Amino acid sequence: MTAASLIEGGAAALCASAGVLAYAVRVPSASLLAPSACRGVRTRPAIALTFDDGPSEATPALLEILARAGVLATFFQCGANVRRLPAITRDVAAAGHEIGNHTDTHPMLQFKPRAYIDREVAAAQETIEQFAGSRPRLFRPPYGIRWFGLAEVQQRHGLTGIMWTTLALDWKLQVHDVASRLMRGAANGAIFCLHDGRGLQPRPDVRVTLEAVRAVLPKLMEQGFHFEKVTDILCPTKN
Amino acid sequence: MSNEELTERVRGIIAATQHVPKEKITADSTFQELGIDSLDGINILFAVESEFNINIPDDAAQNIRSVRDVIDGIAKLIDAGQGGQAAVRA
Repeated sequence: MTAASLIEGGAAALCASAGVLAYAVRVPSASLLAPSACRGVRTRPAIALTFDDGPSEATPALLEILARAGVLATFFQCGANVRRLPAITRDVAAAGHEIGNHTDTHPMLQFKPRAYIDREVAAAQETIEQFAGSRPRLFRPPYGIRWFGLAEVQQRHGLTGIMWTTLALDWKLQVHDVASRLMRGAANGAIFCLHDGRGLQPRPDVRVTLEAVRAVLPKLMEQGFHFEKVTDILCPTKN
Repeated sequence: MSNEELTERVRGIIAATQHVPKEKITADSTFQELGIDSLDGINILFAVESEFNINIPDDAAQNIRSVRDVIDGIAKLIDAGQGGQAAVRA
């Protein structure tokens, strides 16, 4: 069932399809409202670490942890945060990490018109390109919520939607529990979703995220996994 | 659906996804010739799956490198019973 067919069915059909709609809006692997990749190829022991909501004042500490481990990751940044902390975005890019679009102001896209979604995505594209030096190719919606019109917006901006295989819940769990979730989610092609910010909040407390990442990286490497940027882990065609 | 119809629909999808004129895309174009990289390829596959109501297996997707590969892959999936009305719509 496509998004278009849901709309054409009218309000009655929409209500009858409430379960399907909820699935489409929230489940990472659902592509009904906007196509998204949620895992990489399963033939290699590679995992992609992704960090949403940055940059924040805590991002440099995360960059240090990743650098010590020799790991590259993907950061889905908000345009407003980039304008607040442009030097940190430059550092993320300079370290070789990948930067994706996480909208400009981190809104829930649910019930928003396409023009609004487009403005959010376009503003973040412009800001990230200005400070990171390259235009994002990846997009992750705030809260993982996709909505009607997002598919067209992604296509217009040449963005590939990216979801996840494991949501760390690092904004509400303790270090041990976050680390346990990540260890359980480790698999070929896995995409982990963590956070180096908290929406647009200045000076967020992301110590749980930092400690969990510091704890699991060596353990996963011992298990034979290595870490790649999202673009590298997807690679469905070999150019 | 004839092979010509299938080819036209695939050319249209790639043109729309890549924002390039349809005239530049032939059945024999390779992704490399068209400047299509891995991420572009993902978006094309998403659009193809939506248009034809098919599911392209991951292992098959990894071997697609040309417009012809896309067309042949869709034809195989339709022959195998995927697609339904979306696959026969002109």
